Amino acid sequence: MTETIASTELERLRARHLRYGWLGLFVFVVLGGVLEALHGFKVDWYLAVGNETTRLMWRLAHAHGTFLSLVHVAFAVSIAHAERPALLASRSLLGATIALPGGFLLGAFGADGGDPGLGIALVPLGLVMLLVAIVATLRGLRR
Amino acid sequence: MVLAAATLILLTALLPLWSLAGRSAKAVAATLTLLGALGLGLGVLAEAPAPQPVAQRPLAQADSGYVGSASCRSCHPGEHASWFRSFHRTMTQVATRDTVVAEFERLTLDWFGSEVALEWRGDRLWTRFDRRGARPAHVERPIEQLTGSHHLQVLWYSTGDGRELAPVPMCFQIETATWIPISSVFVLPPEFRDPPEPGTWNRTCTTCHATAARPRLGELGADTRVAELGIACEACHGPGERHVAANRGPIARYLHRARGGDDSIANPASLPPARSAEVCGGCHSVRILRMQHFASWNEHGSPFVPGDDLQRSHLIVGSDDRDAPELRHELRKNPHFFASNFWPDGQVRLSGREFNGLRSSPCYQHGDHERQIDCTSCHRLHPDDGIVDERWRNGQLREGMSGDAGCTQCHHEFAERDAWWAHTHHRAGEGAPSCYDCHMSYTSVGLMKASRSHAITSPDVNVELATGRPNACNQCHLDRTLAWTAGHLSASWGVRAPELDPEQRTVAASVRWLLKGDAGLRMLAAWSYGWAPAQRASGRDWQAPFLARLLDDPYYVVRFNAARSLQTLDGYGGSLRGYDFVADQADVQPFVDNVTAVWQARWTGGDRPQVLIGKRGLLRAPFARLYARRDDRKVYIAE
Repeated sequence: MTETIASTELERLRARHLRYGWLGLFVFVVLGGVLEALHGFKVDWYLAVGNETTRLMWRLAHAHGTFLSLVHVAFAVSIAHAERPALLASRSLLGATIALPGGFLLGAFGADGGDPGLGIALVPLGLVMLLVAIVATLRGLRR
Repeated sequence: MVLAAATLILLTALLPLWSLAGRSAKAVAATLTLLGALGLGLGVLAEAPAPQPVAQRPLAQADSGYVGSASCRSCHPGEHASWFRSFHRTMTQVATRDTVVAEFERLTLDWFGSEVALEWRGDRLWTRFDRRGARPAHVERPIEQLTGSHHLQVLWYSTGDGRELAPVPMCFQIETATWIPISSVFVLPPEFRDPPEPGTWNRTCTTCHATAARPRLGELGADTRVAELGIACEACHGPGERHVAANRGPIARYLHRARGGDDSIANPASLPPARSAEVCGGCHSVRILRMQHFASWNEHGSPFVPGDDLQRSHLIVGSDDRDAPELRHELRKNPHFFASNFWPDGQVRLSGREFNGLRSSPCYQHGDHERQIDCTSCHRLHPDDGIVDERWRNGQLREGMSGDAGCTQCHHEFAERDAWWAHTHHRAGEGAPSCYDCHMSYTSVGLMKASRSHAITSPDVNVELATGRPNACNQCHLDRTLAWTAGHLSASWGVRAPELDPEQRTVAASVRWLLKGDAGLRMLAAWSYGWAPAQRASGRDWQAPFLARLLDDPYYVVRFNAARSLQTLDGYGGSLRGYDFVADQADVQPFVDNVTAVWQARWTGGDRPQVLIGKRGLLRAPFARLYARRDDRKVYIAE
């Protein structure tokens, strides 16, 4: 009975992370496409020399968002090898997926010279959550 | 680095080996990985070959509180990027295939009958010629350094005497893509054919064409040091070491940001107007180092640091300073100093020295500090919108300041077009003057052209009569007399009309400047004849014989401007084919006759006595009478 419940939870987690992963991929790949288009059409306000930090923040948001979306897919696959539902890992990964690209996106606003806006403070928080997710996943894997 | 990169690739290639089963495979993988890691370590530790020590040119070395522009980039990427694309950065560069503007492999140039050879030998440019002047010698030396990348590019070779540099006698004029003698760039009597003497860069140019220069001229040769070649960040912001140290940590940076900045460095955009303008005035002025700094100048360079009071370290020369000890000292060395740089009333006559003009302007002098202008009122060294385009690069103007916004940002009453038209007393429509045309007219010369005065004044014929400086009205209305101008200024603006002699009442002012002015005035007139707004106001069909008359002028730069303005008129390109403005008088004289004849054959404009033209063409007698009275006193205007 307990095994059946655990298995159901694992399935639910797997489905949820697959959904997050592919949805995230859609969002962040579209963001990448928009950024490429801004480059391609040489949009002045985007390419202006004073906008370098803003540009960097958006690129980092795109890259981290895409990467973390793939991590969600990998996490969903990894769950099959888990001994128990890795709820801590799941929640931390979800938090990191919001905080890391979100921090970069928000950091683009209020950038001053080479320093991003205060939204960048979310990034170290996201990094901690991502590390927690990695460690928790490692611990949950079957030996 | 190559070794490190190769090892890294090898290690990556080893990864699949680790997935193989079996002890022997794992042992091989372990051994190879260990060796690889050792190689990687050695590769990283092995230093890149040390660059060749710079011994033949001024040494760029950031010390004494200077850190170099690279240190600014990580925190100020936008500002760094706009500076990087500015002509300030490339004012002085090391000579390489990338920085030399002219494209060639081997050239032999004619320098008033002598050969000047330029030749790339591998990646180094060499020159060969016979130097004249105070230190004659046969020169065959590598080019070390370049000055300029916008209008002109001057090549400097090492003399072999320490870090001393000397100029190649021919420079590259970028606008026309031609090589011309350096002496022809300036308003100098024709007997001046030699370029500046060896050591001029170390002694003079270095002050403003590099950052934080120390000339260090000694008996054993020059050992010139600069913080950075070109006009870099610290030329305008001062030494950056303290600022970098104060802002290394992110928390400190965000705290400074919350407080609105820190005071560890000067920012001309936020300094009080006078201090801000003096940052630019540190170079863009005619000034003389105060005598108390003479002794330390050679070793330490200029004591002025952005944010300081420039007048504590320098005398900013004006009409009231003729008894200043610094000026008396300068006049002993160079008796032409005042006449070369200034109009008789102390207005600067040399381009690139805008601070002298600004300082004398009411907009700078008035007591309302909220409205006191400085250079940043109109100029921005880093564009507001972050867009670095050619228009910004050419004038470094703030957005919109190429129009009238520079004036109407304070003079709000003229922001309304109706009020503005009423003030100008000009007819609405195309060809209307800008504020600058009347209040900042073209009365400075340099870089082979006229430049706007930065002394903000109003047109007044009385001033022209007193100083000889052309009035703004007649620089546009080339075909009008001083009497016409005086009448309009009196009727529309209440300016007192002076007494005028018959010639001033009957002959167009610009014709008088052009035929009987001194060389500086002739150059201004020749330039004005090619100025599009002046051609719109005065027509384009009558100027050719006057410009033709200047094609054999004794001063090369006058000839150059006459030819350039002729090119703007229709149908004279063919007549000027083969014209060389530095050729001998006998070789250029035929062009005077040819252009005049071409114009004469075409003239159908009727009677225009004010510009000495009758129904059948030029009124040769009055023309010759004026020309015979040309002011031939020697003029020396060399920026």
